[in-house]
Amino acid sequence: MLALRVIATTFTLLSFGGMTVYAADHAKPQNAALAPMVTSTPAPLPNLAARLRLSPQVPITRLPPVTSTRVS
Amino acid sequence: MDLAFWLLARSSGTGSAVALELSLLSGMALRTGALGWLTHNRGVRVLHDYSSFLWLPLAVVHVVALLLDPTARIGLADLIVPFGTPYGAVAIGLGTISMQLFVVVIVSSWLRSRITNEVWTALHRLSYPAFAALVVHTLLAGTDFAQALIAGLAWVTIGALAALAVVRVLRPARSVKAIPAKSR
Repeated sequence: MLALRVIATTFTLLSFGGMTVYAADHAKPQNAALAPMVTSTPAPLPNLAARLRLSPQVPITRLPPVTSTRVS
Repeated sequence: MDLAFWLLARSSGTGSAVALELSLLSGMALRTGALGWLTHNRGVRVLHDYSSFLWLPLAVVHVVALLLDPTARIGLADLIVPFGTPYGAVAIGLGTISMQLFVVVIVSSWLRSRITNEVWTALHRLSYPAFAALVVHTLLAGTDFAQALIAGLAWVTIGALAALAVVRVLRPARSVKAIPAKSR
């Protein structure tokens, strides 16, 4: 009787553990057979701090490349 | 964290399905003697009873993980009213139906001593449509069925269970080694 329980538990835990390992390797959401629909409603604008963080990181100290030289 | 719930839902769903298959297999083997080569009927009975301790917690984990997964967007109401999700309504709804039927089966088993044998038998046979709904649910919603190994293993198991179900329906219950009602 105990052997049967051990076998059943082993089967189940192997499936659970095996799928955990497998799913961790294939964890990308785009692998899902089903995916929630993407709504057309735009996301609400984040607050000012978040918007500043999301803004393109343009290096303002960067100088334009020198294209000509001045000869005195 | 989002992916952690998604990962947990996938692994617990698979583990629960495997344990449920063991439960169905042992349940049908009680009357067909399909596991007679492995053990006697009492052993099969022990396996059948024990398997509910395996699939039930994993099924709960599967449902809770999906409730907590913000990407899945499944609410408490979806556990009660099937086919209400904004996507995959049939696939997810069949999972809800399957869960509800299995809840009836498991509660009726807990109340076995308080209900008549006929009522218990009728309720217990709901596990067949419940499992059928579960199979379609996994086929439609299962993330990993595209993988040949997983799909192959699943189809072999489903085929074996279907064949055993046919034998179970066509062949009458074994009268010699049938379990007395008192010990069920």
